Amino acid sequence: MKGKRTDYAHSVTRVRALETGLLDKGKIDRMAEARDAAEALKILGETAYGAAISRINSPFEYEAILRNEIAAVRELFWKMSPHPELTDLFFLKYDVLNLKILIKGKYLEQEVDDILVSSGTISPEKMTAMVAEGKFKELPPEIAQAAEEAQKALEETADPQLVDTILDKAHYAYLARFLSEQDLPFLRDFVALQADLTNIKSFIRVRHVAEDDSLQARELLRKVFIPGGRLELDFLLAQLDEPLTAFADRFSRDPWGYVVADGVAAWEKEGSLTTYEKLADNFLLNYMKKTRLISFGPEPLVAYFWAKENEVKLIRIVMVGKINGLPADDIKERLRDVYA
Amino acid sequence: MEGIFLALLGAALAVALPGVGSAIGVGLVGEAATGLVTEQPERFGQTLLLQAIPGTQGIYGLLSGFLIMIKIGVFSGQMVSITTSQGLQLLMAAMPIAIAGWLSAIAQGKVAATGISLVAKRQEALGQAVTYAAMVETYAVLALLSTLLLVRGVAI
Repeated sequence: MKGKRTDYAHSVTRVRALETGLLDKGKIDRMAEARDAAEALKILGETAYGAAISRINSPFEYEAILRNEIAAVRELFWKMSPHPELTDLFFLKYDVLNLKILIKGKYLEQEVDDILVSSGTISPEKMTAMVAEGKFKELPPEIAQAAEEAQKALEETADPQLVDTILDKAHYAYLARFLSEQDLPFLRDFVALQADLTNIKSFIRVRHVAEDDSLQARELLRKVFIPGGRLELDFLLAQLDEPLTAFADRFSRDPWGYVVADGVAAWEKEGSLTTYEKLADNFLLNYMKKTRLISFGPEPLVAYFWAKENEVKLIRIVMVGKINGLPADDIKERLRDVYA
Repeated sequence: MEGIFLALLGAALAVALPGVGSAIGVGLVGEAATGLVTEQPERFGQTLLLQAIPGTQGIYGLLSGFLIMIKIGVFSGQMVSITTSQGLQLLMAAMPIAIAGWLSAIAQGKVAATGISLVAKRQEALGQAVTYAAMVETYAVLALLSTLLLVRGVAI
């Protein structure tokens, strides 16, 4: 780790002060129980989101507020973090998202400006120029190489999914490498956990898609597997022929074993990964809550970012549900835990 | 002549080391405090109380240093003539506050800085935060006590 942990004294306290402004479960539930989208937004207006909400004209514009919220967190971290390149690591996923959109847009010759996000470490305008020129020098080496590779692969195969998988792999490879060079075991484990939970999800999907064709399943899993986790590709490949419940049992000793066990049970019953995704999200959020025991360091900052992202996700679930007229109970079922 | 040199070294260390420790400690709490006050300016009073706590070691050090200076007559304008052994005794007498004061101030600064995080989350927890930080004070006070007794005990 660059510098001292106590370098974070200012930013950690500031983040702790900001955490008190996060929405609690009661607020989110009240939003879910609101009569319609406009009323839900009014409830949101009673919180720290008030100023932003007064500036929009219709409840359909809520998405702009949510996007600004994450971009504002990044700007805050950039200003106050003693080592912004470290906290920036976690905003990189928005750069990767923009890259995917732009590379596909360039290939399909479509305008994609409207769907780019501004929460990344590189502005959408700059990223657009980079993709247009095909020069990715400013990106981390793994991702730069993957961007070139993805462009080539797309031209050769015309398969847009390849762009996603190539960039996702590079994204996690970079995260894992960067964190392995730092003395930050908590964050390293967190990224590994994310990779493992994502790979298990892919494993369940792949197993389903290529149920009768084990060769195709193997090839698919190789394609979507992301590095950086504890689970090796070979281990997952070997599990493809086993029953799914036996696969879930393999993790009974891991702290997140219940996520896989309950997620797989729900998958076999309902054929949907929603339960697994919700359990995995909650597990990661609760893992992040352990940063409350860390006095100084970048971890509490990352936890605040994670909490804010979770909050934005919850608001989005409620608003989408309200706009589409879903009953309150259905919306609540989809909701995740809150950090506060 | 070496006697007075050693005694002055003792006085200097008694003042300087806890002073450095307190400056680091108070500085760290100050950094943490600005984090909270940036978001909630009305919390200035609470944070100031916590920031003051690691400052005491510097005062203990100054007090100890003055006692040694009085002992060797710095303030009377005519320094007493002491033997090397007496000088060394005064230097040793200064060690408890010099070392314990220096390191305890840094440790206390860390506790008080995390105390700021605590009151940032829960305003009513100020008493608890102050108590945790004050526990560290015990060892600075014990060091001061032993330095005072030791300086007193050196026969000149």
